[in-house]
This record gives sequence, structure tokens and C-alpha cells, in this order.
Amino acid sequence: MISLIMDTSNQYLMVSLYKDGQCLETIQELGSKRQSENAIPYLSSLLEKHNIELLAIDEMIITRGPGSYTGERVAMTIAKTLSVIAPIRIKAISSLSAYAGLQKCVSVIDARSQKVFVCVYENGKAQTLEELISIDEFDPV
Amino acid sequence: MVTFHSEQDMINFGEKLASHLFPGSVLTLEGELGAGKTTFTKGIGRGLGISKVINSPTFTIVKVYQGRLPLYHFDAYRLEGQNEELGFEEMFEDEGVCVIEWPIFIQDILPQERLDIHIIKNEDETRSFLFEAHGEVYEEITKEMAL
Repeated sequence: MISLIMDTSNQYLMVSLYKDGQCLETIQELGSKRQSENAIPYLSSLLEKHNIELLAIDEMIITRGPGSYTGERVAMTIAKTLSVIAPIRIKAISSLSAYAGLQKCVSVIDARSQKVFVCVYENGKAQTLEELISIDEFDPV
Repeated sequence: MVTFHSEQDMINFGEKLASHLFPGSVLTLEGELGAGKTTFTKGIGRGLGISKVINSPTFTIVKVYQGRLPLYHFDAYRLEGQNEELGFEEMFEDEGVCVIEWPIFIQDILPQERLDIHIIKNEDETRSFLFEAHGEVYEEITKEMAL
């Protein structure tokens, strides 16, 4: 099974190809302001390098935000467009969850305007609700 | 208050103002239709080294140009009465210059620190500019330019 994983929701542009649960290759770019421009070229180069056809993708896993207004929509649009031409499954997970992974931690994403998105995770499970709070509420000094 | 007797003077002034602008600058432009908001923005664009023609973003709402700094040119005219989230805050907080026409329609999301400019179309066809700086860094600019 070929899985395409993509995160464009924040400042990490990440495109990853998995085959039967094993990672073939990941491209990750930090501080990317060009999500919408680079996402597809990176995908294209991964597919070509590993000799995989676009239509061979079985599922696409994306982050659905919270995060950048445009960024949230880039991976989502690619997934939805792909699903029009291929019978793929789309799975979307919270960006807060994706960045937490399986760690026991507080996941925080800059929401701008002095606010943050925040959620507590342990072992991949949310321990609180995802919240948007002011930076003062998050770290009262 | 500064008064201009020609379009070219306005554009030249915009160019001069642009030299004081920094990454993350936000300017608002208020004035009636035809007052010269977009014309003035052309001057700012020139000052930022933007070669592309800058015209009214009334229909597109935002236009982005690349210069010494990116220029985000907004026109909130068509957003009157709308509450949809459009991701503007990200542009306001980005490393470019934001010029916002008809700021009244997105009053709630405007950054607190900014330079408000009011353009008055006078009876004799001249234009008068009123400046209101919100925040130290913008107060510095108005002081430096003797506005």
C-alpha cells in the first residue's frame, strides 16, 4: 500500500512517501513560505525518484490545521483533487496532534495576534480540548 | 497635514514614505472614491522598487507585489458586512508592507500599531493628507517626515 503524507499547515512543509508502512523518503523544509509552490514539485520528485505513479497512491494523510490560512488549504486541496482522479482514502489529523506524535507533551502552534493554539497529548491521545488562547493565558508571568 | 496639487506630487510623496517603511509595516488609507488611495499606493510601490503596475484591488481584495519588501495591497470595500475569516492577520504580521484601503470594514482585525492616513479631496481638486500614527515606530516616521 502506498501512502502519501503531507503537512503544509504551518512552517514545516513536509511531503513523505510510505510503502507498506515503511518510509521511502521524506522531504521536510522548515520555515517554508512557499508551501503552495513547492508541495507539488516535491511530491512529483518523490514519485519519480521511487518509481511510483501518482495513481498508485492508496491513501493520503494530511494535517488539517490549526495553522496558516493558506497552508491549511494546500494539502487539503491536493488531497481533494487527487481523490477526484483516484480512489484514495484521505485521513486528516490535527496539526497539534501531528507535531506531538506519541510524546507526552503540550503541543503549541503560533496563532498570531498574541494567541496560541494549544492541546495536551499523551501517547497520541488528546488529554484536553484543542484551544485557542492568548499568550498571556498560556504563560501567565 | 500635507496638501498636494498634482497626482505626481502624491506619487513622489508615497515614494518618499516608502523609504521609511520596514518589514511588518501597516498603513491604512481612508478617503472617498477617487480620492487617490490607489494612486498614492503606486508611489509607495515605486519606493519599494516594484516594477509591476499597481492598480485597484477592489475586486480581488488583496494583491501582492514583490519589491524590496513584499507589498500587500488590500481593499476591504467589498468586505462590508462580512465576517469571513480570510487569513489577513498572517499578512499583517508578515515581513512585508501592508496598505489597506477602506480599513473601516475590517476594523476588528487591524493591528493596533499602524499608520492611519486620511486623504481629503478638496474642492479645488487638491488632496490633503492627514496622518495618525498608532505606536512608537510610526510616531517616529511621522516625526522624521514632519507630518
